[in-house]
Amino acid sequence: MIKVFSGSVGQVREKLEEATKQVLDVFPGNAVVGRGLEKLLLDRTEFDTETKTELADFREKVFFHSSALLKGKGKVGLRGFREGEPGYLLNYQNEIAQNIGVSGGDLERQLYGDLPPFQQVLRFRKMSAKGLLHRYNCAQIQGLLLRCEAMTIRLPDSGAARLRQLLKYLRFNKLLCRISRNRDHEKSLVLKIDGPLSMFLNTQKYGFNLANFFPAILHQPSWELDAEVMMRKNQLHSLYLDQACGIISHYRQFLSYVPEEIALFSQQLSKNLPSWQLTSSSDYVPLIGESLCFPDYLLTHNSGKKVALELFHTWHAAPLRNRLQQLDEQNEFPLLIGVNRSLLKNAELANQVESSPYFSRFGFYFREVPTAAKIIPLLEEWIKE
Amino acid sequence: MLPDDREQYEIARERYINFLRKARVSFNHPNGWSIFLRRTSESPEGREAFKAYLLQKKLSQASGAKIDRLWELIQLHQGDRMLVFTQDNEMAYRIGRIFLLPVLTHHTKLPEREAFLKAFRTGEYPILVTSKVLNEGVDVPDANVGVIVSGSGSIREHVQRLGRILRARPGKQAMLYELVSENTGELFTNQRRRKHRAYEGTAVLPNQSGQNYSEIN
Repeated sequence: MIKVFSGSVGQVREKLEEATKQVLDVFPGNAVVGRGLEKLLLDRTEFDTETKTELADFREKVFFHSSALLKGKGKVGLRGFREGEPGYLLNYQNEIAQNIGVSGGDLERQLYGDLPPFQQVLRFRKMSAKGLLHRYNCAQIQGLLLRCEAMTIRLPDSGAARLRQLLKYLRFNKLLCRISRNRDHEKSLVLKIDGPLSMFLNTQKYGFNLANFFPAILHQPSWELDAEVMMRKNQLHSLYLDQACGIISHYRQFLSYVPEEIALFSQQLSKNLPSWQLTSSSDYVPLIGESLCFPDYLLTHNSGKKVALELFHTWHAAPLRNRLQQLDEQNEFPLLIGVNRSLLKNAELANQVESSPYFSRFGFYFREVPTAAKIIPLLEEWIKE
Repeated sequence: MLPDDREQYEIARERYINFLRKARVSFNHPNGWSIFLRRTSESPEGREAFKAYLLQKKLSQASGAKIDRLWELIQLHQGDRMLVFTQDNEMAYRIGRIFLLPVLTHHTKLPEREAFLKAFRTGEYPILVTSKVLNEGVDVPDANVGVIVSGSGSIREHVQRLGRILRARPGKQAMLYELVSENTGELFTNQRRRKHRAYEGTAVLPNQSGQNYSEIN
């Protein structure tokens, strides 16, 4: 199957599907597995989906002529069905083809030539057979996580660098997570992540984000995952997995990877406020009680002073409520907080944000991503403190 | 159904029905369809049966005879505004290619989609072919003739399609045609979706080639 996909660049989708069908017809295992493997390879294939304006123009011309004939405005009326009669289908087709200046066969072929079956394969990201099987197994788990209530991950012994990477994925996917440290074992962390079924809005998107997060767990040297998964007919089942499952992640270890939105934000900030530098945060900020906060970014001033920034996205209503309560109670200023405006649809929460003394000094609103303009006054205030 | 189509249909249907019997799959069971899908994916024989199932369905829903009948209806209704409905995109585009007509499916890009609907609304295009995109949620211009070339057994889908042509207007008379392949499984599907009071008082009309058409007005 991989060979078929690798050789498909330049071909049209229809040809690729014909070739994969031949492979699937002799697939020795369960056909559902075969189709799953095909789907994963299709996900790695890029098709030319750009709109072909010339074909849309061509269609307009054809329909202008066909409509005229159908309304009885042609040279011959549409009467009779048999050969020799004016309404014989071939006569109708030929008259339109002549008006356009192409042959009847070409007309039929070209008319909808930009449909998916005729889209060209532009690229295929190659992978090994072993890699495909790991990807398949990983997808099986991801599929289950789309319908999970909650997930707990235990990391008995994660090094700082790998942990940082996991937390990055957690943030990129905007997941709701409570992280606690095991008191008896310094290095042991427990991550409790809310599942899509516990959400009230955008459940599907959140589910995709959670599924996207799973391959990042596979990079940890030792881990345990427990999840409550809803199966068909609303039966709740337990999913348990640990590093012994042997699935290898298709995500690359990307310790130096910076997502585009952060790069843009960082550029904006250094242009408008050259004395500050933005990096992705790697450490936690202790708050009152037992809780730890893993902020999104760290801003470092030329003087060496540092301040953390935590962002609250659409799903983060409950964590924002808790965070504001904590920050208003303590007399220190451990971090800046950014609140996505969509959270203000909740009137009670909007009220809490508006009346929070901490937010009025060190908080700001944002829409999609935070902007430098919003942060600069807060940083100036911070330096003063 | 044309003789060639009929022969293929009978062979495929027999293969599919034999598999159902052998594998003891019954569609009266609440999970009949998923059991059928599972059984057919477990063995080469099952896969053949699944292909046979698809083929007999396709032949009944998209037989060559339907193309001929549709051409007759197009001629019969010159000057009318006609919506042609199909069960799947493949048949919609087949009709579009043969009769050189605008086809509206989920593949149609937004600018073209708007242009098609506008041209149909103004009467520039007298016929629009569509699969399922016009079932609901789209403001479709007024049509006075509907042709269901193929469809599911869903009453809801059917009533929505009906609603596309039955918008009341003083003096308006609307016609809905359903093309159903005789002596095929499609007949049951057709009967299932017609369990609606709109069908009280339907009549049968003979046409130019002696076929019978059910009419609702």
